[in-house]
Amino acid sequence: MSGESYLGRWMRGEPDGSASAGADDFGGLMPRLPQPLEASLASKTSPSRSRVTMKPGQAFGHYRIEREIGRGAMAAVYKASDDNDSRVVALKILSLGDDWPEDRLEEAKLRLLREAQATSQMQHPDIVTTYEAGECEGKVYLAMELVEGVSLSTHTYEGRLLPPRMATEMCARVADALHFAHRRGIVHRDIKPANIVFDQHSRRIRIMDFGVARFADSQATRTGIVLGSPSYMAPEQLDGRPVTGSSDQFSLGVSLFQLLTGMLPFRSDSMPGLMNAIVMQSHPPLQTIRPDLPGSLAEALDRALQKDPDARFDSAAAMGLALHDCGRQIDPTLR
Amino acid sequence: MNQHVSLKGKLRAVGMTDTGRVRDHNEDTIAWDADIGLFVLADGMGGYNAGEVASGIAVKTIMNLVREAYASQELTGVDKISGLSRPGVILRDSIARANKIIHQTSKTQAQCEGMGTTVVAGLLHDNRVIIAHVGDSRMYRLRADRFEQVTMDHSLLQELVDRGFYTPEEAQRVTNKNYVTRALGVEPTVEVEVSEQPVHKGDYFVLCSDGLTDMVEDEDIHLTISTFGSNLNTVSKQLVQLANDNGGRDNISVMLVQVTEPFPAKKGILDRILGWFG
Repeated sequence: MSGESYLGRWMRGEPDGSASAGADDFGGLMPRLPQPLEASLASKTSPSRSRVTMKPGQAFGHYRIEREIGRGAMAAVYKASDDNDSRVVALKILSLGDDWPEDRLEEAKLRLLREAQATSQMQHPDIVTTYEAGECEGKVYLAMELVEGVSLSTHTYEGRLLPPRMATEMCARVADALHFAHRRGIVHRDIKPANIVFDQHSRRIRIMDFGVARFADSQATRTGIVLGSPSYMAPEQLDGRPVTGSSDQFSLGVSLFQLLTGMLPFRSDSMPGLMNAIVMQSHPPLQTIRPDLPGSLAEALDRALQKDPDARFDSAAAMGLALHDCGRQIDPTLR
Repeated sequence: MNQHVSLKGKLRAVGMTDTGRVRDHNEDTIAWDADIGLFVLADGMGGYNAGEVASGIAVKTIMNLVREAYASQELTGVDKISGLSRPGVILRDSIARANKIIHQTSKTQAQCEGMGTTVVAGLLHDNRVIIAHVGDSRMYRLRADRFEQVTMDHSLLQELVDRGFYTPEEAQRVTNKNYVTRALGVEPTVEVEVSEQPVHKGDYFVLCSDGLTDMVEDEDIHLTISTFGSNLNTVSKQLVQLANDNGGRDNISVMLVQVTEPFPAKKGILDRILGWFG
């Protein structure tokens, strides 16, 4: 269930069955008529401050839009050139959503900017660089390095899986880079294959959307709970406990499990079921699905996927070390 | 008279109410007093802001009257006619009184004409829970792993199910499900359904409006409590979120109570002396 799909359903204004009969039809019974749907929709959807649409050639601050390269529920991403130093960037313009009450919007923008600015201090070869975070025309934006490559989410399906050794080594490098961020007090909060980009040519992996991806989501609803799939989230993220670097380990564990097996370790056909699986149930042992992989890899995953944050690896660096070791034990020709 | 037993430290409770995604104001009202173990939830209906007025009067009246009675009346003994405990009678009479006040107000204030409200209330006393309700706001109980609805809706739908016209599953798909057959404020008098049952340590009670139960399956409410039961705040947020994700077509209110310790009533002096020899 994504924010988008909800919004879609809401915009279409699914018919409300309770409005179908009038009061008189039921004599003494009390009809409970909802307010006219169109009226309440009108008041909520316009004016929209969330929809961002920029045209090629349009100026946005000191950036000039070239074209749209991506769009999500909470943001639009454009390829843009920076008039100041003529570099080309990925310009992510965030929409904080119509759900925000006016008075909390400013506070949210401030928090987001602070978070993005902290991220932009980070320089690491495996982390996509944030050049600048700012506000323009009332919208918060991030100017990021434009990255070549495909996200690992294209390799999470049966038949498109990466060789296990390669997947394990990539995740080892992600763990190393996470450790670098964690030591600076920055937690990613939304590690998943879609946020890890692999460039075939340079053979590099890059982590995207540090610290901000989940921000836009988690703050988006009045009740303060995330929209979107929690498939990769750690138990403590779901029940509102503090999120630490250890949460990123869990998410990386889920990602690696999926990259190796083509299936998520926690699954259900409903959101409450999925949350229950993440918080209460153990994942299937790796070797029941891939008996050809070394036991040490299963152990590393078991450790990263512990429900208790303190029972995981002492640090992302320790997880990285373990995964590098596991990688070396996997036959490089194994598919 | 001071026989008041504080339930502090024996219960955990949270409540949450949300406008939902479609309505532009919230006609539900919730309130609780964990000290005396009283929980009240009302879902108002009526034009303008009359729904809020009705649910507000209901909750305020019930809270006040039960508190007053607790401060001034004997709480032991059983009412011979109804078979209810004293607190049971107090709760029932408070709700009946709320009905009168709402009905009066709707007759005398033009802008309140035709207003009404459901109510569901739980009163925990002497290791028991008194459950009272009018309309389609509900109470559920989770004990061990069994999740059960402990109130029966006063709704057209439930009556049709009771009379054998529909199975509960068929009833789920019927459109006219929001018709309540009993509400506070509509008639000069109202029949309040009251029951009592023993409480076990570890029990969870859920009070909620139909804005939750129309949007979220019982099984999903059960799962959510099982998942996050150690953090009632998260449970209530997740339930409201689920209802909103599924459309949030009505106001959503939920109260959760967890019994963490037994709460026997303080015995009278004679009972205590006899107890030493028992």
